[in-house]
Amino acid sequence: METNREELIKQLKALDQQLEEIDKDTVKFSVDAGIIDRLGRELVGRQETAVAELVKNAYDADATEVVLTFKNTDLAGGSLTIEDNGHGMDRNAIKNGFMRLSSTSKIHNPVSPKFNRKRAGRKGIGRFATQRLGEKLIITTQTADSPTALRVVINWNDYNIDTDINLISNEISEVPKEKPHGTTLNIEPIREGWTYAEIQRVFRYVSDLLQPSYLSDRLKNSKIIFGVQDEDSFSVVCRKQINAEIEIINDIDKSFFDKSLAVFQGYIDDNWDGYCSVESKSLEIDSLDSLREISAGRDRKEVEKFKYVKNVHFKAYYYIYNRAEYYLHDGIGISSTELKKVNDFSKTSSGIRLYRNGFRVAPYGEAGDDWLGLDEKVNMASHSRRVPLSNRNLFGFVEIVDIEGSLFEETSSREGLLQNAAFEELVDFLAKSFESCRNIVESSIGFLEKKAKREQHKSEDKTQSDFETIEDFFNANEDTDKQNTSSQKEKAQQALENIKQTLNRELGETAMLRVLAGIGLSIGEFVHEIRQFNPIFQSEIAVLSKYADADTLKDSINGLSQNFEQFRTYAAYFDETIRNNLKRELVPIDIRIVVRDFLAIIKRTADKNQVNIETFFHGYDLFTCPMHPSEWSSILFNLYSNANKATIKARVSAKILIQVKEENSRIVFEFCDNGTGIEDIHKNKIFNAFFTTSTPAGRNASQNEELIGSGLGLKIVSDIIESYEGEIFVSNPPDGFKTCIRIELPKATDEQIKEQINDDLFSA
Amino acid sequence: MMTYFLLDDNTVGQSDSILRKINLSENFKITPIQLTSWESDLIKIKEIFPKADGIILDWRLYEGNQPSGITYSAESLAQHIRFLVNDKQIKRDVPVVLCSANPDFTSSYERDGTGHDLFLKVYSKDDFSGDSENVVRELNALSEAFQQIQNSKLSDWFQTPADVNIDSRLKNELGDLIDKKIPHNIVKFILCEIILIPGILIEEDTLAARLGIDKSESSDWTVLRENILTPRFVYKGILSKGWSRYWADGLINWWKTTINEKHPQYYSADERVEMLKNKTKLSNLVAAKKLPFCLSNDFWAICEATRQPIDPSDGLRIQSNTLRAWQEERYLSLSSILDRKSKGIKLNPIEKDRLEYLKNLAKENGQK
Repeated sequence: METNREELIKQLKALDQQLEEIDKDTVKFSVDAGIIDRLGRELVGRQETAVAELVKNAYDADATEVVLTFKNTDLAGGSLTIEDNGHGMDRNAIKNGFMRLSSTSKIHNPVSPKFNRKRAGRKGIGRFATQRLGEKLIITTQTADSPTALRVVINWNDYNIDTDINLISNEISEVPKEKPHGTTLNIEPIREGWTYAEIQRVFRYVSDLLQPSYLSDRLKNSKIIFGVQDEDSFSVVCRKQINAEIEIINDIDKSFFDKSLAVFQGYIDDNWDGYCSVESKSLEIDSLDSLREISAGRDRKEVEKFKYVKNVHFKAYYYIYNRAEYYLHDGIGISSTELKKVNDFSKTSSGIRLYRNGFRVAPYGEAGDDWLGLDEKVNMASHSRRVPLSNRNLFGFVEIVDIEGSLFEETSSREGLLQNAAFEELVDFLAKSFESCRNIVESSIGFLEKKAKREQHKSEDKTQSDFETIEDFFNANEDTDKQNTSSQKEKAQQALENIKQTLNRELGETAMLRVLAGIGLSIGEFVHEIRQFNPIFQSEIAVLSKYADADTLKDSINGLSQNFEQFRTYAAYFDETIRNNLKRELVPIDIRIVVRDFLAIIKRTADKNQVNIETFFHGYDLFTCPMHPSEWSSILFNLYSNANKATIKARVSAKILIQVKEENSRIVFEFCDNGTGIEDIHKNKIFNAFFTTSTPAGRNASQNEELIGSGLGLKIVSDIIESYEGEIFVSNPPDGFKTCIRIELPKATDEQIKEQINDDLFSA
Repeated sequence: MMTYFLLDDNTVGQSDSILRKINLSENFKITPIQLTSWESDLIKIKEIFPKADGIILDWRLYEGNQPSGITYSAESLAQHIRFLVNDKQIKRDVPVVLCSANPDFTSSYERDGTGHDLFLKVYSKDDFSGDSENVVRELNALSEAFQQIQNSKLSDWFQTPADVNIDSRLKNELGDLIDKKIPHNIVKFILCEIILIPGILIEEDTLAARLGIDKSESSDWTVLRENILTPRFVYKGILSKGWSRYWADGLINWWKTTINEKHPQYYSADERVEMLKNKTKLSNLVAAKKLPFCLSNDFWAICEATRQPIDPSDGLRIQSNTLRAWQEERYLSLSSILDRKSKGIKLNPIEKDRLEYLKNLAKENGQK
C-alpha cells in the first residue's frame, strides 16, 4: 500500500508539473502547512476563545449537552476532552466539512438540521482552535445512522512550515460506537497548564455563551431559533479530573438576581428612538414612570434619534454594596451576608455582556473589561459615592439582533466586534442609559432619605408651604382679575404667624447652644485651675483621717475622702477633655479606650445607684474615622444620662449593655438599657431639638436645671454623628433590654489605624 | 531625721498643706522652701545643702505664667547644682529629684530623655499627698546610697552573696564612674542600670514568674517568699530599702541545690510548681496560666503592663536604650496591646512587623 501511495503521489506531482507547463500563463495558490499555526495559535489569542469555538460547534451540531473534562491539566501535558451529543459526523462530513479549510457548509446550511439553530460560527475556522490548545487532536464521532464510529487523529506537529498542506495525511479509522450519536474531541497533550481560576473562567465564559433570557420579542419569535441557554435547551458541564478523581466546576447561583436593588432596562426601538427605565420595589421606582428618552446627540435639550443602531435591548441588575437597608421593602430585603456574597461574585462575574444574535461576544463584560467606560468615569468624575456606577455594581447584558450581519462584524479572532460607527453608537447609547438610570436611583434614594428626615422635620415642610402661601397672596395681588378674598388674607396671616414661631424656635435653639458653649468654655477654665488644689485636699484629708479618733469623725472623713476621689476623677476627665478640645486635630478614636475611660468616671455613681454595666468588644482595632476626642464624652454622657433617667422612671434594677463591633467597614456602637423604652411614634423624634419627655423645669429653676432635660442632648449627639457621615437610630434591643441606641460610624482606614497605633506604641 | 527640701514657687503655706501627709512619716520630713529669684535662691541653696539629705525640685518652675514671676527652670537650677558640686562649692552631694503636679508629666518626661541625667527620679505631686510610704522609702534609700558611696568601699555596697558572680563589664563600668568620684552619677547608674532593669537583680513579679507561680492565686506565696526565698537571696545592698529586689543568679543557685539540679527554664510552669510543692511541702502554690495569644508557659519574664508571667518568645520587646551586657529585655504581651492596656509603654521599633503578624494571626484564629 505504501509503494502504491508513493507512486500515486509521484504521479500527482508529475501531472501537476505537466499542467504547469501547459498553463504557463496561469499560476495557482498553494497553501503552506504553516497556515495552521496562523489560524490556530496566532489568531486565537485566548484559551477561552478556543474552547468557546468548540462548544459553539457542538451547539451547531444540535447537541443538548456538552461535557468538558480537564484531566491532569495543572501542568502542560494533560488532556482536554469535549464530548457532545450532537448529530456527529460521517465520513463525508469529515472530509468536506471538518477537513476543508474555510468550509462553506455553514454558509450553505445556516441553520442546524434538528433544532433549527442559527449557526454559532460563520467563519468556519473554529477547528484550529484545538491547535491552540494541544499538540494532538483525536476526533471520535458517530452519527445515528452509522453502525460504527470514525476516529481521526491529527497531529498538529506534522503541520510544519515548508510543507504543502495537501501532502500531510491524518489517520482515519473505524472504531466501535461509544454512543448513539455525537462527537468527542480529545486534545492532548495540552500545551499549557491550566490553573483552577482559568478553568473557572472558561466555564463561566462557555456557560454564558448564549443569552440567559430573551429581551425582545423579535429574537424570541424569530423563525430561526436563537437559543437561550438553560438546562433544557443547551447545557455545558465542566469537570476537573486529577487521575481518577473528578470534580465538577459549579457556576454561580443566579437566584440572587431576584434580590437586586434595581433593574435597569432600555432599548433602541425600530424607529431609532432610545429609551431606558428603572424598576425597584424598595426604592419605589416604577419602570413606566421612570421611562426616559435617550438622545443620540450631544445637545441635552433636543432628543436626537439614533442613526446606525436599532433593535438593541439591555437589562442589568444593579447593586449597591454595604447598604442592605436600601433593599428593604415590605419586610423583605437582602441580608448583609448575602450582599457580601454578591460583592464577592462581582469580582469575577459582574459587568455588562454583549450577545449578538444570541451568542456571547468576548471580551465584553468580562472581569477587568470596561467597554462602556463606567470604571473610567468613576475614577475621574466626582461621582456620588452613595450611588456608585462601576462594572462591579452591575450584572447585565445587551442583546443585539443583527441577523443579516449588516450592523456588526466579529473580528477574525473572535475577540470583540469591529469598532465601526454602529458599535460606537451602541456604546454611547448604553453609557448614557446607565448614567440616566443611576440618576433615577440617586434621586430616589435622596428622596426617600429626605422623606425619612421629613418625618422629623415636619416643621421644615410646613414652613415651606407657609412661604408659598404668602407668596401666592402677594402674587395674587398683582393680578387684577383675582381679588383677594378675606379667607385668603387670613391664610396668609396664619402662614406668617407660623413662620414667626418657627423662627423663634430656631433662634431659641441657637441661643441655647450658645449658652451651652459658653458654659463649656468656663468649665474648661475652671477645671484647669482647680487641679492645683488636688494635692492639698488629698494631703489634708489624709492627715485628718490618720488622727480621727471617734467613729463618727472617722466615718465622716472616710466619706470626705471617697467623694474627693470621685471629684478628682471627674476633674481629671474633664481636664483632659478640655485639653483635647484645644487641639483642633481630629484623631481616629479607639472605642475601647473612650468607653473604658468613661466607665472609670461613672463607676462610683453607678455602683452607688446599683447600675449594672456590661461591655463587649468584638474584635480589635475598633477605631472610628478621625473625630474630636471630646465628642465621645458628650456622646457617652448623654446616652448614660438618658439611660439613667429611663431606668429610674421604670423603677427597675438598672442594667446597661454596651456592645461594639465592626460591620462592613463601619464601627457599630450599641447602647442598651432596661428602662422605660421608647415608643414607636417617638423613635424618629428623639433626635429632634427640644424633644424631651422630661418634665419641664419649674419656674424657679436655675439655668442649669433648665438645660438638663432640655432635649438638646440627643440632638447634639446626632449632629456630631451625622457630621461624620454616621448614623444614629433606635434599634432593636436584645433580650432583657428595652432600649437600644445604635450608632454607626465609618471605620478609620487601615493607614490611619496603623499610624495611630504606631504613635501609641512606637516613639517618634 | 531624714530631711528633704522641696524647692518651688508655691507659698510655704500651700506647700505645707500638700506635705502634711507625708510629713507624718517617722524620721522623715520634707521642708518647703519658696523660691523667688535666681540670685537669692542660689544663696538659699548653698545654705540648705549642708543640712539636706536630699533636694526636690518642682517642675512647675518651668511652666511660665506663674504668678510668682520665677523666670528660670528647674533644669537650670539642677544644672547649676551640678556645677556647684563639681566645683566643690557644695561639699556633700545629695540626691536631687524632680516632681510635678501634672499627671502626665512623669511618663512623658521619662520618654523625653532630655535633662534626664540631672535628676535621679521623677515623682508626681500626687505621690506625696497620697499613698506616700513608697516615696518615703525611696527617698530614704537614695539619701543613704549617697552616704554609702561617699563613706564605704565598693565591695561593701552590693552585699553580693558568695555564690553570685558580677559580670566583669559591670565592674569595669562601675569602676570608671567611681574613679570620676561623682556620687550623683554613680547612684544614677546603679539605680537606672542595675536596679530598675532586670538582669542581675529581679523584681518580685519576675521572681514569681520564673518559679512559674501565680502570685495572686497562691495563698502560700508569701510564706514561700518570706521563709525560703528572701532569706536565701533577697538583695540587701545599696538602694535595697527603696526598691525590693532579688538576686537573679541567687534564684538559680537555690533552685539547683534545693529543688532540681536542672535550670528551671527547662521546665514548664506546671512542672516547676509541682516540684516546688514537693520539695517545700507548701500545697497552696498555683501555677501561672498563659496570657491570651501566648503559646508557651515556660515563663521567664513578665508583661510590663499587666505584670503577668510571660515567656520571652511570646513577648514583644519594649523600647529601651541599648542594653548593657548584664541587662535583660523587657516585654509587653500581645493581649495588653490589643486591649489597649499597655499604659503608654513603647515598643522597640524592631517589633513593628512582628506586631502586625501577630495581630493578623490573632484575627485569623477568630480570637475576638
